[in-house]
Amino acid sequence: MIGRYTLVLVLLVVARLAFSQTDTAYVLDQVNVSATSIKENAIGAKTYKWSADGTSSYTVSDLLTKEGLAYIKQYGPGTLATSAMRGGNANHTLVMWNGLPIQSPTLGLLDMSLLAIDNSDEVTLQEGGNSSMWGSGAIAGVIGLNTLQPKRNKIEIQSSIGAFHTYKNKIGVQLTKRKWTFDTRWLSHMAKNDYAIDIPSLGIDTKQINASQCMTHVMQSVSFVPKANQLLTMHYWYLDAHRQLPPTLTQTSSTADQIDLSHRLSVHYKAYGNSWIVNGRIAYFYEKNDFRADTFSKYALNRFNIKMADLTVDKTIGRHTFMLGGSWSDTEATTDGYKVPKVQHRYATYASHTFGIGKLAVQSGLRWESADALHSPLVPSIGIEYAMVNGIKARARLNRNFRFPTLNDLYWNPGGNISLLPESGWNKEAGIDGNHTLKNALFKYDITIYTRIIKNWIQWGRVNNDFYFSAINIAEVWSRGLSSNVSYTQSFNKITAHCKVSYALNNATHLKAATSPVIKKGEQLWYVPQHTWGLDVGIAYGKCTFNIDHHFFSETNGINENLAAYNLGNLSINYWFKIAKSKMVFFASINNYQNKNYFSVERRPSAGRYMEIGARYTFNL
Amino acid sequence: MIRLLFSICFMCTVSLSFAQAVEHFEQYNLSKGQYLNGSDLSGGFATDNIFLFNEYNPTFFYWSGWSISAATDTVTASFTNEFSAASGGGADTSLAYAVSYGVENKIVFKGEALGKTVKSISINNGTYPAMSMKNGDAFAKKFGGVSGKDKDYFYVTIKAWYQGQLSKDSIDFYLADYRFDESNKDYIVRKWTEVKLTSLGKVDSLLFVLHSSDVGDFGINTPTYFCIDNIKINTEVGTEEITPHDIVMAPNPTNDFVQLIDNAKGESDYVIYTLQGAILASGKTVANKIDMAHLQSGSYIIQLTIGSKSIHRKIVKI
Repeated sequence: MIGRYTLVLVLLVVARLAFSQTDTAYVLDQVNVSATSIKENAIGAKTYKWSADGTSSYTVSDLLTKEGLAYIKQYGPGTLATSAMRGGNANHTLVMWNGLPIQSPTLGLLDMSLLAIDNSDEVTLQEGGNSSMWGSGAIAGVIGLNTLQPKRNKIEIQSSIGAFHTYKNKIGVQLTKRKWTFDTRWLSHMAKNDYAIDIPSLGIDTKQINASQCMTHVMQSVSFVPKANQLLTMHYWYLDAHRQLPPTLTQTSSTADQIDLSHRLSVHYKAYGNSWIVNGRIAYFYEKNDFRADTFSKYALNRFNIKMADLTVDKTIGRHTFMLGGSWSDTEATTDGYKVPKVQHRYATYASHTFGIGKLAVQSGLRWESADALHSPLVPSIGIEYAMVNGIKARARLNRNFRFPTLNDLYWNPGGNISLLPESGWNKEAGIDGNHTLKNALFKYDITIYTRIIKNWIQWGRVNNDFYFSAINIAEVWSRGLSSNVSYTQSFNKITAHCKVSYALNNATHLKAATSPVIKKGEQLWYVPQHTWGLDVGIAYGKCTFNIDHHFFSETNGINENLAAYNLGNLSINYWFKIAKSKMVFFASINNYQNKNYFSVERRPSAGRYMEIGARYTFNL
Repeated sequence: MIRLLFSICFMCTVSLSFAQAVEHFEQYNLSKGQYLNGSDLSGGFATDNIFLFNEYNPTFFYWSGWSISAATDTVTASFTNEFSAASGGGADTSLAYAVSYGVENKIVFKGEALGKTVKSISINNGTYPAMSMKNGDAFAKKFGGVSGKDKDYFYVTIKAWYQGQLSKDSIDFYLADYRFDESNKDYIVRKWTEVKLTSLGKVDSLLFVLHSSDVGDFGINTPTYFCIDNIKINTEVGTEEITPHDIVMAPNPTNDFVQLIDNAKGESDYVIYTLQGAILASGKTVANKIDMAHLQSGSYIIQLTIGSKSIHRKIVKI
């Protein structure tokens, strides 16, 4: 419950920030919100926020699936997971780590199975993209992984075991000492993933093979407060993942595997006064991805490193807050697919203005960005929120979004196309949020409708009867639909019950036909289900909580065959108690408790029922 | 202009003496494991009688069309093994052969082979597609599918170009066929097979088009390779087998009669049908002519019988 009320409070605070000065500092249980730039607060958009402590999901892909906010295309437990939200592809969702983009510059997407939530303190999702603030790729959504300052000394140890020889462990130490804080986390996830594949309709009764994984994360944050209004923070994230890639259903065996290794280092500086905030970030990322498919006899080696810097200045004058920002990055990538290493230089300038009066808040933004010879269009945005009556807020947003071609789109051998144009289009959305506190109850709802046409959509296909695929600005996609959530929470003495129902409609259709690949005008995008339903029911009694959630995804277009609709259900139970300064939590979950066969990717069977039990011990020093 | 308008129903041959050229690829003097993928940008490979197109992209180091190979790997299921024939060598235990890559490819005939009939060509799978069809890979399915009962196939359709016309007749050669009700009859070709092409008639070039049951929105998932060797060509005018393509009726459209020209010999029986199959007239040709003066304007089918064989032509009376 603490987590849920925290979430409510955070949302209220975020909403309130839109109407207040930006230098206000709040200290909440679990979350620090301090001196937030208006860059991080998109007015008029629907933004979700989850506390890492408040979710049982292990990765961002698990979280988005359970929240019904995205269709996760996953090749099996622990394997590549990419998202489709709001009628976009995987590379239309930007992922930020402490405000810095961590999207692969070669592929333009991020494997969400590598994003362990426990590496962060909170996860945010802004639906609808926001290129005017975050730049290329922020078209369908922006996911944020944020590490917050520790506010107490503690040691946390967590361990769990699960089906398919799954072992997850975590050790975290958070220390604060005068002006210094230290936050160290180590996560390990090992699994054999030898799950049963029992599909009587296809005559299959076997076990998955070549699917083991071994993943280690290390996260280290150090912060220093030189003065009361200044904060210097260093974050380092090390990831080493070695995963086998299982065969498809129509493949006898597989020897494919993949190694992902990354070092991500960033330094952040923040200073603020009564009417101003300065945020500066510099970062260095190095990543390698070695991929060996059955059709390769050796590893395909992919490497890249990025140096980047970002600076924003907020200034509040009366009811107006102005923000100016700029960013720079140098990317160097080498892969077997390029003749020579490729270097890309990006520069961006952006600005925003927020105005609040009474019940009204208005925000506008503008961005321009270049990537070598490529230039983004001018990217404006305007958002508006109006508090109509108590607890009900209307919002609307109009923003232009864009995405530069990836380095593979530009330079891959064969098929890279240096003549590609950036994808771009306008996102229009409007919605209503309701939030009503009744006697021992909380009633919340929201609904958002949106429409977006992306032009110059980049698609790989055959051109001029070439025998290889090339990247071309061939497509134009119109995405429109709605998302809605209704939740009700009621408390009776020691019992608190909640129920949440969500529904999303995403019509994402091609406006242009093509022959290679075969695209029909009006056809829905691959891997974008039209209808998504979610149901989440929970009850807490004293120190015990029980939760059941279900999610339905309608039939989805695939490249070779369509994927049948499916409905997944998960159960979880927690029990916690305190002894002096310590807190112990026992948890258990049964995912896909109905043991349903389903496919989120063609020819790739997903796991049936799997259980996990574990415990988390927290010692507050 | 005289045009062929109707497809051939039956093979009509008159065996005569013939001379034959056999095109193979040993002249490239490749050693085992070597291949030529067109990286010299010559645009293809020529023998005395044929030309095989090759397109090499020096920017991408990527080839398509034909390559010449003496690769011998019969095991590696990978596109790094794209130059190997499934049998590990050329036809008749030779070393070299040609590899086709792409959904469509063409062999162009030249020299004394131009406009002649092709007796046969030897065809085989490449190791890469054969292994892919047998075991599947990350992109393509194993044939038979999950249950082993999917009616999968991978075949090449061969058609002939002659004097600007593409033959309506074609020959399909199945590189893999899993359409049998008894799955023990399913097969993937791993040996050189001689495919008869005489029925295609005279040829300026041969067109090869691959088809697979494993198709998605991006096209064929099965690796689109196959191998050829030993192209046998009947090279002397008048000595080759006569096929229905050799029987030309002109003029078409006509006012009063059609004349049989080219290789039609002697007196032949004919029947004139309506398009609905009703017999309007029959008889023997006189001076290689068929009288149509008494017919009303319209389209007709003429059946011509030479020996034990019959051919059909669609003729327009104006």
